[in-house]
Amino acid sequence: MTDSAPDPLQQAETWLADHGDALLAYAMRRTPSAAAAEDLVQETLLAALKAAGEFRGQAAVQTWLTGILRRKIADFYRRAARDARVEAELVEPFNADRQWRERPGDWGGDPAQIAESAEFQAALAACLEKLGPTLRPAFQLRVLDQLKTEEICSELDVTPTNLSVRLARARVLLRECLERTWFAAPQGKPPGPASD
Amino acid sequence: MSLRSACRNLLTLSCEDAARLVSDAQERRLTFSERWGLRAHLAICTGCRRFRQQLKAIESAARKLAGQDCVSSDQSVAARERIAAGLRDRLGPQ
Ligand SMILES: [Zn+2]
Repeated sequence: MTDSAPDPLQQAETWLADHGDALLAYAMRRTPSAAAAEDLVQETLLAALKAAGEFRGQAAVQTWLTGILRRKIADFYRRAARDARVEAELVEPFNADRQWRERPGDWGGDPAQIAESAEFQAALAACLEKLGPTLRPAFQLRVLDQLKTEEICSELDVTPTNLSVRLARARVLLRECLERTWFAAPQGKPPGPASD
Repeated sequence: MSLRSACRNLLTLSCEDAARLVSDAQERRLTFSERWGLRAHLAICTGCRRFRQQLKAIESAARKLAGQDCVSSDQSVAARERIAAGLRDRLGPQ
């Protein structure tokens, strides 16, 4: 063993120690479970070892690893989308006439203030978990990672129209989920006289 | 043409279409006829007006979530250990 050719296991462990936290945080925001995120980080490190020859020193190691992880996550969702239609479990928000099945309730208050509430943020995180394998990454990449439409389309391998449909559906379902979980909960009710 | 489609939108926009436009407006500037169709729909539809307001809260809260580290240090240590064990299985001495 020489300095120029480190043992692969040692190399992977070094990457894990230096960049594991960042990679895990990145993967966990985009995958439905911690176990899935861990598997993807492991696959990423193994793929990185194979591709180490392609690594050009000008990119930071973490940027390079994150790029590999991104492709692994995209593959994960492509497989998941083929496997199941988890979104079907969520309530269909529109009826056959394409009107709201249940009209959105009055949350009261200022949206900016609602967004500050820790309970609201926690409820949103829980609702995000319930979105399925096609809706969740679309929303996460768009809103949490602020990627541009073209970048998301190439990452998820969808057309702009398809992405627009997914984002609208994700937003409507998140709203619906929040109304059921956050707004219906006692602490979710904004201050002021109770309606109805 | 845009006036005609604006009139058509005004008469036919469903809540599902309106919600799609409210969502699209987060990503792009709506066309003239889309804006008019949506405006007319929102004028008469409480549900879609609420959706638009609530979406502001959702988008803003989601951006705040993005800034938070979602892995605690204990979780992270355990996760890294599991990954390291997996790597040793795959790469360790045969
Ligand atoms: Zn409506």
